[in-house]
Amino acid sequence: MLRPEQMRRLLIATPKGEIETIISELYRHNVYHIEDFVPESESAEALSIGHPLPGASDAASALIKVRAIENACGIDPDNVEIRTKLPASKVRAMIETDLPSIQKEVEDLVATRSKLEARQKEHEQRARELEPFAAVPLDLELYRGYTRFTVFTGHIMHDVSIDVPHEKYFSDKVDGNMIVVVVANEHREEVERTLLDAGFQVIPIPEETGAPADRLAAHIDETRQANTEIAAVNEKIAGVRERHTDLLVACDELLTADVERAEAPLRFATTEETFITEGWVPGDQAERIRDALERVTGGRVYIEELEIEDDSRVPVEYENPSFASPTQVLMDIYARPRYSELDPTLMVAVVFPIFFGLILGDVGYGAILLALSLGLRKFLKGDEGRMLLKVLSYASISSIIFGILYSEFFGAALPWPALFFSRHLNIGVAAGGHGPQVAELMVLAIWIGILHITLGRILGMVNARKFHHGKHAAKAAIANAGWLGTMWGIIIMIWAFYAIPLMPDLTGLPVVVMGFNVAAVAGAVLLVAGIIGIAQENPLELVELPSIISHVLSYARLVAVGLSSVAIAMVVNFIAIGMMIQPQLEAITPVGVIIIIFGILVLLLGHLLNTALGLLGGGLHSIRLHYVEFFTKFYKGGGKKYNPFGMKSKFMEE
Amino acid sequence: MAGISSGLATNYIYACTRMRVRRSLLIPREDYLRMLNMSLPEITRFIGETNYRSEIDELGTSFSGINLVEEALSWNLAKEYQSILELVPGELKYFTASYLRRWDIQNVVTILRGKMQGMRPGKIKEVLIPAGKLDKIALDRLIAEESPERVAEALKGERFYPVIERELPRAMETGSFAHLENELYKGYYARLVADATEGVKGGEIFLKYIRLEIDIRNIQNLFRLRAGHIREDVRELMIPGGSFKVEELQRLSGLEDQDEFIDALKRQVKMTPLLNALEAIRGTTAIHEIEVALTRVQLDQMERMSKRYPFSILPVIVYLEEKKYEVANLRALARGKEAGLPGERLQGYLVM
Amino acid sequence: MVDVGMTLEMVQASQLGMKALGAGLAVGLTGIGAGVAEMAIGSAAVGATAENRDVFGLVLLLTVIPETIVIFGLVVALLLLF
Repeated sequence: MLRPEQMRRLLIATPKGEIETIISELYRHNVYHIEDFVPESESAEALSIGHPLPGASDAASALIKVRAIENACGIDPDNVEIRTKLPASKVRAMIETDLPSIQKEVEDLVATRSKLEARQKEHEQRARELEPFAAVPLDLELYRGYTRFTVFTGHIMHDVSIDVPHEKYFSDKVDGNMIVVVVANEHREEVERTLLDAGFQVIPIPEETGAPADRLAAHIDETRQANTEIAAVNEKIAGVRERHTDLLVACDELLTADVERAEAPLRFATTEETFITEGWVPGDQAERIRDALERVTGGRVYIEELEIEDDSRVPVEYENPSFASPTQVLMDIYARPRYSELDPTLMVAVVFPIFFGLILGDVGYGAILLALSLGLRKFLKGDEGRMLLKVLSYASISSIIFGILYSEFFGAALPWPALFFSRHLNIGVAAGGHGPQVAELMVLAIWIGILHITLGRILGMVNARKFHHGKHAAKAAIANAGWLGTMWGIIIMIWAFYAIPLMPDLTGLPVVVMGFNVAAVAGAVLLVAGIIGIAQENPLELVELPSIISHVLSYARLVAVGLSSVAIAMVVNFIAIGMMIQPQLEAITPVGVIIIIFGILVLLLGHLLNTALGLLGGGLHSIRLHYVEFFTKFYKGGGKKYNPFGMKSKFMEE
Repeated sequence: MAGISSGLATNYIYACTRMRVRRSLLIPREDYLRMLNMSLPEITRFIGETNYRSEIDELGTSFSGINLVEEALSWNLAKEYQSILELVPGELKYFTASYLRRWDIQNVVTILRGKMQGMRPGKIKEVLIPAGKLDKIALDRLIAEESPERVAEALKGERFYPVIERELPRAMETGSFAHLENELYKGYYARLVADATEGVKGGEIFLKYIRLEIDIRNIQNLFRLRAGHIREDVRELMIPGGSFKVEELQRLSGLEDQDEFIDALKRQVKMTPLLNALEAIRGTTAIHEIEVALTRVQLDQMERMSKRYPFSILPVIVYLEEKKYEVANLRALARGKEAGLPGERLQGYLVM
Repeated sequence: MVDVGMTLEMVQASQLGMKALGAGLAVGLTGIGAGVAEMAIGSAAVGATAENRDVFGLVLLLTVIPETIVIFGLVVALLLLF
């Protein structure tokens, strides 16, 4: 909690002979995060990248084939539902026995299909070329083979008259019209000019014989036939998918594992005789791995635990209570925490739904979103999507709770007055009520901002000790305290001058100097001390001072965005119910019924739109307050994901 | 900042950001180092899990071994370039298209050579990269022609047709297309310079890139000629339009001694990275290492320029060039592995 | 400068109108400001997401940062009205 899982850094060195045993043992345990060996550029060191194990090449070839078959059949292993798990030994045997025949079958089908597709395209093309000629009653042989005549064929804007002896066909039945002109060679140029003036565009004469209309029909027929054949082949491919999906995905998995194992040496450093690898294991697993490796190699392995020097190289795995773990997805969107810093997931997991509820506090919208997040869970397969839906379901529960407190149901009031602060605006039916307590709500939001930012700065002081060492750590911590002092100094001074509802009223305190009271002086001292605290680390930071005010005020969005959502809901209700449905209900007429139906439509559409807006506004603004206003105070992020060497079997069993 | 508020600029920001992100997804140096120790199928599998995934998977049923890699690389490059051409806006599209013309030259020369040597159409098709203006269909049509003359005939109307018309008879006579190719590229660069200077917005930035490219190519050519002990008139082979005059280059090529040559060259250049690189290659004789070093300088320099003009044609060109070298690297790796060369030998040929 | 012919109610009503006008201006103008600020960020964000979906969360966040401007406008408007 509040810290990522503890990691230990291991160096494993073994003679080359033991490498295979070591790799398969590490793979089996699935806890060792390999740190890839990268040779320093151009330095002639004794260490170099290792070579893959002998089986790598064959496994890779087979894997390429399996993936090609999967692709041809439209199988995506990520989206395949697990029906039965095949035993690994059986899959290995089937790669030898069954796979080649499947491969052949699919390759033949694909080859046939591409031939058919080529044929279909060819005929389509021919048909397209013939189409304009079908409008002219001439056989195709008649267009060619003259020595003394020139034949013009092409599109033209309009019919033209030609003043030399000629033969001409014109048709406006096809797109762009069609014209055929035959003239003696000596008139060729002037006819060409006449034609070009009318926007003539040459169409090449198809290399075929017979009546164009017949040929056209023949090609269309061929195309159709090719299409049916393609459909038949596709059906056969679908059949292959139906029969062999389980096997193919299992093969994919097995071979991927094989390749990963065989290529592991590429991530290791080698010398003449040995392999050396560095990596990370979770703290509680280190001893088990060490024992296991020593056992399988019979002691022919050297394992040393190394100091953790650079925390940016440590892989990070979250360690959070189960209700907070979906929130990790929100953390990953920003950046995974670094190994040595505080992991704020838990705080986000608690505060995010509260912010969401404050913004979208409405029983109706909350219920819709809750139903949505539960319903979509069936359709979303990826881990990340599911985690997001979990976060959304927590947020919508919070939204319902706040809806009860605000007494809101799709913008309308529930049977009780607001238990908390009212957000009911004076719109339509609700007009004349108490009105919204905007000022109070604003102050509440500012309070939340002040406290949230204070928390962030305190965490910043804690983190400062982890990021820096010695004198610099103290400096960084003091700078954070300085920011805190500056903020509170400003706040206390404001309190000393103005009485604000829901905030301490310090205006009545005794005056000390120059008309300033105790609080004002204390605030000023705090402010100056804070500024000195900031400046001692880095004076340039002082230009950021205005951000203190803007960040605190930014929390006002908790109210502002929420109120605009309420306003939309109430306006929708007023238009649909107050203006359309209710007046008609008093005396029902046929026209009135239509208006009522229309009103219901407006109501549904309006609230649908507002639900989407509420989800977007509530979610984005809440998370933004965390990312921009909260995290910038203490959080660095940039940790690497813990990705152990090994695999969770999905389609196979040992 | 004034430009940023116009509607046009957001397109630039969009396209240039995409290019930068794509660039960050290219294969990093460590992965090349690991691939050097892999066998061909392992390399195929490896790139099949990166950007090349869809091509490797798609073609895996029809090809295998080295052909699979080569086809996948060509397809991917062509697809990538065409998609970029589609997504870049306005003036950037114009410049990108004129940059991509170089693939037309490469393809046409390949087809001419293939026809001359009587290669099978299928074989020629395998090595084409339809990334330029001549698309797959146009190239197929060219391949279907019987002779080099007919191919040239079919190219009537292309920008570079006059060059082909002029040079083809000589090439057919001598049996070497080197001169024709060189002339085509000279025409290509002249055209690039013309496109950049005809007043289209952002042209001056494009011109900076073209100058750099021409300079580096000329220097590379000079080194190559030295390695081949060709001391004759090189004016024909040099590309005009860079920061060196052709006469200067001719004078440089006359110098006998390698050290003297490098010193003379260093006096002419101002770019610090190039100076450093020239110093670093002083002792090297292997031409491929010199070329790789110079290419690296060009890419680094372009990268630096693209940071200075973040929303211009440069980020696009930087990505196009780096992608080109990535594909060239992978091709070299695959071919080298196929030929059984050890990883250490191949490393010298990669632009990392 | 109150017109002689104006009654107290008229003055109050016009003050109310001025308030509403001010509130409207506060939201509207800050909205334009936020829009201009978000324009460039937004186009870069969409570009980055098109290439690499992993950065979606981060760029969404970067895009909404200028939203604060309009929130301030909304706060001012609400305080004016209530």
